[in-house]
Amino acid sequence: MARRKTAVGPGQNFAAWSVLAVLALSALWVGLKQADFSPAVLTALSAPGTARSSAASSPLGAFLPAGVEGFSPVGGPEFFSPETLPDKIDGKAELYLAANFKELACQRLTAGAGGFVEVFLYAMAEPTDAFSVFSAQRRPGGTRLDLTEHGYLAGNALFLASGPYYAEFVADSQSPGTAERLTSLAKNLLDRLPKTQGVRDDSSLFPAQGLAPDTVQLLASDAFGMQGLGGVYCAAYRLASGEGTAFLSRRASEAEARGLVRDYAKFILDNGGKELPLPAGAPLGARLLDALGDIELIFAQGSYLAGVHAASSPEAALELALNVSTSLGATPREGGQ
Amino acid sequence: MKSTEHGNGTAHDPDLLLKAALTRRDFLTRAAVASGLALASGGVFAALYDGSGPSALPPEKTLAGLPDFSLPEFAGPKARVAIVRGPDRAQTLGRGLDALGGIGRFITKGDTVLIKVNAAFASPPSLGATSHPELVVALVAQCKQAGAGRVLITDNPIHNPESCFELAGLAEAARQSGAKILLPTENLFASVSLAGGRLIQNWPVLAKAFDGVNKVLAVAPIKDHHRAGASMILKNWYGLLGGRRSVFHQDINSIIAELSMLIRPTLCILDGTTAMLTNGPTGGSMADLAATNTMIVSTDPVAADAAGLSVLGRAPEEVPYLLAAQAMGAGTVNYQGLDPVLVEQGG
Repeated sequence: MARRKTAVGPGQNFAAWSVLAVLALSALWVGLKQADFSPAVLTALSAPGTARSSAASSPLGAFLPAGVEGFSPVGGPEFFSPETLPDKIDGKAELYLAANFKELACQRLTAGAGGFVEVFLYAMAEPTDAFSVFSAQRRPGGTRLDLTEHGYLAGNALFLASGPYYAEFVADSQSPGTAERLTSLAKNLLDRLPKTQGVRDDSSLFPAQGLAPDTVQLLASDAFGMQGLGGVYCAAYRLASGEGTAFLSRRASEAEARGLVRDYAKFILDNGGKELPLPAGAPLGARLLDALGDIELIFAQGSYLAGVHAASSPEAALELALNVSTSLGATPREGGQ
Repeated sequence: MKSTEHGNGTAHDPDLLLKAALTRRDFLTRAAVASGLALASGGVFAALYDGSGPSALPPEKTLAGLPDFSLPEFAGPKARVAIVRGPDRAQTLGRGLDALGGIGRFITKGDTVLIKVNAAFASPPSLGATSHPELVVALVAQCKQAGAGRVLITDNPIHNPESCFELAGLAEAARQSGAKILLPTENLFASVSLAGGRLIQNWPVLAKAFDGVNKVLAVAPIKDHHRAGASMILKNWYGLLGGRRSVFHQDINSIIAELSMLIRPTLCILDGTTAMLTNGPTGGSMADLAATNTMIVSTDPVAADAAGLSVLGRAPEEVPYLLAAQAMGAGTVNYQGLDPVLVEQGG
């Protein structure tokens, strides 16, 4: 039998290592290339024309009305996050996002005879956020609800805020029984929502004299067009001396409130306004301005920024400002009064 | 004494065993097989490797824009506007068209007409958030009367398209009038880069809905819009965009102005029979609506919107995208300068 060669030569070793090296390099190359994943793929994976999206479930869905006589759900609820909220309400999303929106749950319900109601339940971060979106959209002339502090019926729809939740019940039409049916849905929802302590907010600081009903609003952002000015309560007034919108906003410190008086006055002046002489008796440090025909009177009182927006006359602005100042507590007056 | 595998069959020396197991021929054979495998593997890798990677859109040609559907005889200062007052949409539309010379000036025999409606929401016509089906029925009838071969109706709603067209009454309007709803399916989108555009670059647009179309009619309701100030003809072009278009809300005036350059319609019909004065664009309560009894028919989309703003009680200065669209050459906000025809429905 022939003797086999038993030694492995350098050339054979080299060839073997070369093959292994080629294989290792190939694996490395593939690994690196596949790790370099284009983020555009994420876009490609969703259909280009249809970016609609909603979560399949959420604990918020447990608060939606259920078991109400005369109503049946159409499909399951839809849920929307801050990222997907525009998919549901388009250009109105910014109103909610500016007010610390957390989540939206929607449910469509049939209401017999081919009609339907859609329920929107918005979870906001704080009760004041819910009040902000509620008040910003308040329809004049609505019928107040007894069910909750902040709620009203307006034709085919019912709107309410409770704790950190804001809800809308929108029927596709208005008929004699619509109000009763929407109220039964609202009651069901309120019974399901977590019970919250009544929250004292600054809306109660507005003076009662001349206050137009249901006009108190909380402006979450860009109040009166001034970018960055948020957390401002305002309310419409009709006084013997004229009309105007009173406002107040609790700030972190007295210094911040005084700084905002300067900033707001500068904002008015930068936009074509002009300074007016301050009448005797005005709150100390107040500014009176003519904003292209509308009168603005602004002052700081303690840590509150306060004043009157778009008053019909300097007299109306002063009268309303003094009423607001009195509501906030005693304060020194211009001219020593 | 060392034994070998060739001796008594018992191997005691591992070195010898290894050496004895590998002949030169074995080695060459194995090396050839290994090399072949390596080459084959590399070939497979090379064949599967996509050097450019997947793109955000299907690998198709990026379009430079959409065709221009406006009529040259109404270009620039020759644009025409009619403003008709009255509560009946079919009648005010007819009066408005007549005031501009009749539907025959815009639609001719055999035309394929695309009507871009506002079907953005799964919302009933009573809430005024979408184009009204009565108006669509009347408009399709006008087109058919003028000899249109095909009439298509489209939009890319933010909600489920089928639900939107059904609940808004537009699907029924199409069935009733003999038009066809063109749902925004994936195959109708193409990547578009608007020449001179900053935002519309390689963005999916409902461009293929315009294939074979030679007339485009824009039909929109007059609405308040929380972000943009107002939603009318120009804002309604937002429905041509695909993808996650809500990113453009951060620069809404620019995107609407660019849309005004992307698409130039044959005719605009702006419906202010009932206008959404507050809480737009979704509304929700009939308390947000008012019977403003106005129909605007215009060859100039910017002029149409400027006239529509007067229905909302607002000025063009309050709606920056309108001034931007004018600056880009999409039309004029000075609709009064176009000598609009004013008509009373009963007059």
